[in-house]
Amino acid sequence: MGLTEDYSERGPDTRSGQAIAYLQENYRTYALIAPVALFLLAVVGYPILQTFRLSLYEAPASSSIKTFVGLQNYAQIFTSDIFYQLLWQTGRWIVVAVALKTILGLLIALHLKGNIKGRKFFRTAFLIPWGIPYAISAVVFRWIEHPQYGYLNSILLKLGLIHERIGILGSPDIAWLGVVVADVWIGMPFMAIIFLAGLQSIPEQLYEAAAVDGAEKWSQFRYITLPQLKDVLFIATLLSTIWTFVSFDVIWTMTGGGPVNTTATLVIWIYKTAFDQGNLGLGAAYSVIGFFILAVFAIIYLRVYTSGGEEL
Amino acid sequence: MSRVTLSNVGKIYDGNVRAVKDVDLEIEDGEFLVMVGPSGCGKSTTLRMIAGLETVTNGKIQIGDQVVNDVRPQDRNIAMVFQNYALYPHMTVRENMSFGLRLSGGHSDEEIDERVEDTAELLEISDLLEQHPKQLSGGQQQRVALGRAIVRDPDVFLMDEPLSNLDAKLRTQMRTELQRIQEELGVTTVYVTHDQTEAMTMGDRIAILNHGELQQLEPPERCYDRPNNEFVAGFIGSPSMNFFDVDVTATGDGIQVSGSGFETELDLNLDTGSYTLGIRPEDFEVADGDGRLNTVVDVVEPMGSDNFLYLETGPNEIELTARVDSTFRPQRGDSVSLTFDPNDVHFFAPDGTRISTDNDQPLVSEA
Repeated sequence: MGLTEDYSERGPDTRSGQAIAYLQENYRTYALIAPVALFLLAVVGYPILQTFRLSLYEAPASSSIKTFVGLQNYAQIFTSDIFYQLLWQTGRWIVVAVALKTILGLLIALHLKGNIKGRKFFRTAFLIPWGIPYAISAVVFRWIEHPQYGYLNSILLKLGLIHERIGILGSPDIAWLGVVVADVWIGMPFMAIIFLAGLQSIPEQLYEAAAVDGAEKWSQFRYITLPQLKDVLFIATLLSTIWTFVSFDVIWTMTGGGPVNTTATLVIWIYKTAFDQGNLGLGAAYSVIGFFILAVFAIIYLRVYTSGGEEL
Repeated sequence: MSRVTLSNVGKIYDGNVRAVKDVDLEIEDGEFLVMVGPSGCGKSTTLRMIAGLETVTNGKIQIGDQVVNDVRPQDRNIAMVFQNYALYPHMTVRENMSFGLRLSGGHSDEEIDERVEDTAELLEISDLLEQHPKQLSGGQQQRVALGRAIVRDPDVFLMDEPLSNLDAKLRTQMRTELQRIQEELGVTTVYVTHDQTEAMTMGDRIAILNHGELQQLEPPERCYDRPNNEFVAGFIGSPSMNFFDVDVTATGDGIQVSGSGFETELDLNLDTGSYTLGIRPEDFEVADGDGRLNTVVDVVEPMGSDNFLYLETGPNEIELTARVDSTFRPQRGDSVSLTFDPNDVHFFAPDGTRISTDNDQPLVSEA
């Protein structure tokens, strides 16, 4: 008798019945997040869908007439040399900039972790580049690297490292490095602060135990710091990769993608194609390709983030 | 195995906080020395100075014949067990235990495996070797930490409150096990604890510290029976010794003790003056008739084997504790008259030092 009563109190056991019961209990939550969800759908979801659609059209910016061309834009991209040049330049840009930001960020964090005088000052000072608008930093670096008035040339000349002034941002061979320097300067503080937080969460006793076990500084770094920092390193590097991939302001302000497109990345090219050349359809097709590349990183990040780093 | 010698060792933090004051300590080869004292007494700092994890402000530390003041922890051939074990979380038990051996070089993989497995067997953790620390219970982690220390075959074991994170039952069990292992290995061991039961039961000798100063360095029973001063007398023994401010008048063949509820004659030799009288709770006996001290019961704490009586005496209701037979269970408010053997009492001068009464019985260990 008791069993029957218990069972009847459990509520509806059909799927729709359960869904209704669930909504009755939680409708307030959904009502509260609905405005934001709808807003995001309107400003993010809709443009994404439109971009996908636009990539199948020939759509000059100068005309309101769009012609459906199927996958022709994609065919054009995959058969063009510039696409592979862009992939190479984007990859080079990401690998070098992220590697430098990671290594320098880690070095700074390791030094800030030590008990140095003025630690608080340096910790704040190192965040300043991150707080300055990217475009402003880019303008400053353009000036620093200027062949006639820039500090960089003067310093290199005085040190005897170069014999005549060089136009860094005007040289197709090294212009990308000039931009990387600015991007690293801007992005490094974030990495340093994230790494510092990670380093501070490693218990000091592990280092003491390792020291007693006979570990030298390098062994402590290799066997304690790195394994303990692994999750933080992975997440920070992944985020930095995504941000460096979509970085636009620095490159555009410093070189506009030149000289002869040598500093252009996929993101720069999307802008150039769509808004400089007015080819919206082709620009959209580049965007869709960029979207899928970025999605790979985003999925990795989400998988790691939602699993709380357990899989690492 | 080595002797550890501390000569006039001191530690000052940040220029003015004196954590350890001129400690002289000689730990014999193979000895189990327990350093004990309340929080902040400098015992952990002293241990960390021996380990090389803290610098020495003044004095000299020797391991064997070598002065190690400027020798890094890596080069002291010591092993340390930390309070929260400090196991490397990303390594398996096997990797944790073999870490030091691998770093030191000069050992083949087979030799390392053999030593790790032998040590694991000694500590009964062989089946845990492939697990990570977070998969282990506190007791198992403690054994692994111990194993990591043992496997390296160091000159000195340093243990910083290694049992304090364990539950009471496991703590008692590990206490005896640690003693067994130390005896088996014969490695010089310095063991820091704030738990005076551990100090009493484990050490060959105990070093009692307070405010960074060494108060007494003797075998446990000696510290219990002949405390150097009021601090040691109060710290060693549970429940703590009772203290009473009394006036003593020499009376030809003995002394008259008065004050704090006392008005009694004792057959002892002592100069007239003001003293602190110390009597351990277990040295009180319930008198059949009139005893030496009349008290009123406040609380009775039955412990099973015996009862702790929390009592009050004298016009100022001075509190004291007596440990009596479990069959004696008075009610709150009852009057209880206590007596004691004059040979069991301790007198302390106003500066806290113990006064010899000429009636000190030879200790069992001395007899």
